[in-house]
Amino acid sequence: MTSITRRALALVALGLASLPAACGKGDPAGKGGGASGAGGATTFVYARGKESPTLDPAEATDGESALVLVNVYDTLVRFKYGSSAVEPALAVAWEAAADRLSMTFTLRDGVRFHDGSPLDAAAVAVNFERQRDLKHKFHFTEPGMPPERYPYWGDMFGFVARTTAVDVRTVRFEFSEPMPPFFLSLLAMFTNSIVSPKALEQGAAYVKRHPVGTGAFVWGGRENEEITLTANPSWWGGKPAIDRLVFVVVPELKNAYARLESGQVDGVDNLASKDVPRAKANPKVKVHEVATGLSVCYLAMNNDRKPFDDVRVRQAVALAVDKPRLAAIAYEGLATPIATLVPPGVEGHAGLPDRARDVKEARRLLEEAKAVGTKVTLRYMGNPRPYAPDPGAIAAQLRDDLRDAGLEVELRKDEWASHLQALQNGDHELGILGWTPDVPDPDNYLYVLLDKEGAVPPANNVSFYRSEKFHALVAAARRSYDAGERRRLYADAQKVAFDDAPMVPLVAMPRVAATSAAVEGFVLDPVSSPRFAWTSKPAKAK
Amino acid sequence: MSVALGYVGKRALVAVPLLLVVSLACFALTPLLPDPSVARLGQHATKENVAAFRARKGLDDPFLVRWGRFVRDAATLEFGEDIVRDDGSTVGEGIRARFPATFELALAAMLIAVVLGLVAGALGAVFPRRLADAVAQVFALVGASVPVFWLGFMASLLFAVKLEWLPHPDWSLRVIAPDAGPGDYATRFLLLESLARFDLGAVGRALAHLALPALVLSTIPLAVVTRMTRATMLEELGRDYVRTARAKGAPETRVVTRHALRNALIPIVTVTGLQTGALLGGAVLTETVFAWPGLGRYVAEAVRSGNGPVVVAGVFTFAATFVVVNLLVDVAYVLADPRLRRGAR
Repeated sequence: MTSITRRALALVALGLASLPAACGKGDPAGKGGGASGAGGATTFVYARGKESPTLDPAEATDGESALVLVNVYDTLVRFKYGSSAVEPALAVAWEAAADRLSMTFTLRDGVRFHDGSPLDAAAVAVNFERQRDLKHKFHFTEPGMPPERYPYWGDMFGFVARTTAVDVRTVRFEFSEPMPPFFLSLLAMFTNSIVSPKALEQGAAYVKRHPVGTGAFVWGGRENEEITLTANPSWWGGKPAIDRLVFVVVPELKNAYARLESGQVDGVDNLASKDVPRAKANPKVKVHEVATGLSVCYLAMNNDRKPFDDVRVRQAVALAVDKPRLAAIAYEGLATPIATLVPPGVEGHAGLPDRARDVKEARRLLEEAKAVGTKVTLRYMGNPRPYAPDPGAIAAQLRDDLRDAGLEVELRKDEWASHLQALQNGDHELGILGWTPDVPDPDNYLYVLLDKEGAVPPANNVSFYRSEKFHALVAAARRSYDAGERRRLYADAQKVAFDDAPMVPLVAMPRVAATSAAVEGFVLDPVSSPRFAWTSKPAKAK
Repeated sequence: MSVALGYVGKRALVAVPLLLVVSLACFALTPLLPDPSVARLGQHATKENVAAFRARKGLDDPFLVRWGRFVRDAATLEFGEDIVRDDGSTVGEGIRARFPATFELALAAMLIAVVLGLVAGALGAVFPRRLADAVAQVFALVGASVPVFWLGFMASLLFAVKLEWLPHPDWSLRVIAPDAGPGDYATRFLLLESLARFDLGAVGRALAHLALPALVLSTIPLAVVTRMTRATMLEELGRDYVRTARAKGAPETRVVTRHALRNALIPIVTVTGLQTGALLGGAVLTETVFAWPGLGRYVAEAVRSGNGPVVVAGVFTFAATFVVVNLLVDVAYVLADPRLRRGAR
């Protein structure tokens, strides 16, 4: 035996000998549990289902990107921790002009970006101007290609005419039409994070890969799908209790939960419905729920296609669906049945009594519309979504419910991307889809999902509902500052949609996450992605 | 040696058109993938956003233009841009970052399969139709017939959840070598580099985290290696030279290991090389089940998000690995067997 072979064998033997020590019960080093690290620093490992597609807030639209952004960046105002109310962040005071055509913000003093440069009004103005102005040098466009609007800006900020720095600490927004009453909530969205102008100078690829903000955590790097952030010791809100925040990707929810139980991760971003009772019974795990479920799931009917162009057929479908049973079985009792798209708990929820399931009446309506026995396809997604933890179970029940009333429903499952695209292009008769709002305002449900302006492919209004009456009510509510009047307008709009039944709102789904029981200060926000600035966990003794 | 080199050169030349055909076939199937603009732009994208994205990424260019671009980009090993991540990073970066994890997993699985398979197969041949043989046969059958994703879930439930003997695999530098300094483990071969560094703690952790997926994945080649070893050994043990060896009084262990097993090895080595393909295919499932950050999961995720360049480049890398491994097997074959060397001349 050569000395090299002998050495190699000795090494393997030693490695094997150290195996039990490395993977023995409760040993954080072997299991990779969060608390280990140089100098006893606390590391918090948070498991999520996917990686972040982009780290440039201007172009991010998804929750996975938002999870990183809300921890690295600040916004002018922010959602209060654990609430959907808005409170000061980088701006400490603000004032709207009487005509609501401008608004002025006063910035917090002494705030610095992670790269050391100061936060001033010019930096804030650049961040909004680069989104608005297609010719702005920081409006990143690929060479040789025409500039295009950033997705959110095009969607929601069309009324912002200009953002200027009045002096070092004052920023002014000018609007082309009176700003909507929920403008502050829009400003609190992650897409309006304030990026360091020095980072913007480095170009598109740099910003997409290296977020430089003023937030509680500083970008630490990315290894494959694993992202590390480190605490910002000079954050204006105080240094976070966690020294290192690590986001790992574990695609299977069950797998992620098993890692939480074994202590390999400190928190999981989502739980399979079936794991919720088990997690609640486990003293080593804490389940976090948002009482108000903002995500909604609905059954879209394509109003452009037969037989769903007939209101009687749509009403029959609405009567045939057994929502309480759906919530109890397919959602394991976690979700709440809803009568209209605006879920309870959101200001503007109409509180309409829902149709009780009535198969006989549904059948009568179908007979009247000569639609009994019509073959239709119900499309659903293969992947779980925040509002549909088990899409297959939901689809199966809907098929059975509609069959009872006399519609011949066939199921068709697609991968999420193909499913969404089919529905957005109107390539469906029935389809399951849902929505997690960007801001907790009725407008973000009703205007986005049911207004005629959204019924153009790729549509968000995948029912292709085009009611002038509904449109007039929602448009008026958008312009109103009178809370009572807005409530009334939205209530009327919901009544119109309820009667026309362009879709069947099914359930509102609360957000669920879990952490190990030792974790303190973790609160699940109803709107924002989880923020860890106020989270702590006990450091392991060295 | 020059014979072997010439042989390698000839085989490498054959591999080029083979890989081109693989990429072409894979490319022809990319229209079946979901539209990547949904994965990239999400639910808020307008029609203009989608059209601009598709134009920017050249997704609507003619087939031959796109394939030509792929071949050009593959030649630099960058494979073009990752269109879903879309932050200027290339597919090559993604593949290089993930390949080591798959390589180490496949290597460990193959080592387990070869060692266990040789022992079980040889025992089966030496004691045919006895208990050891029956056990080996049952294991081989189970390995061949049980799907790895099921076995993966079950093994994970038993060893990581119920018994807590092994951790849920977490193949990350943060876990394997938490004290690594900047620039350490730049190769990303966590096990091999920790061995080279003689970092015993890291070796232990790497083996612990590798154990479950490697054992599960090893069941694919294990069945074939066991059965192949048993069959060839049975054949060899019945040959004249074995009878001669026994007649001249050689101890039975020597007859089995030095005479029969050595001659039986050649077909076994060939089969092992061919099993690399199955192993890499199995890695896609194993990596998904165990959240292993390797190439298999990268490709599986890319299929879901419609990230065509990653799918094609990933399959291309798998195919290239398969070709290289089998090339090495053939070279080893030629070097080991003098008769083949003469034939090559």
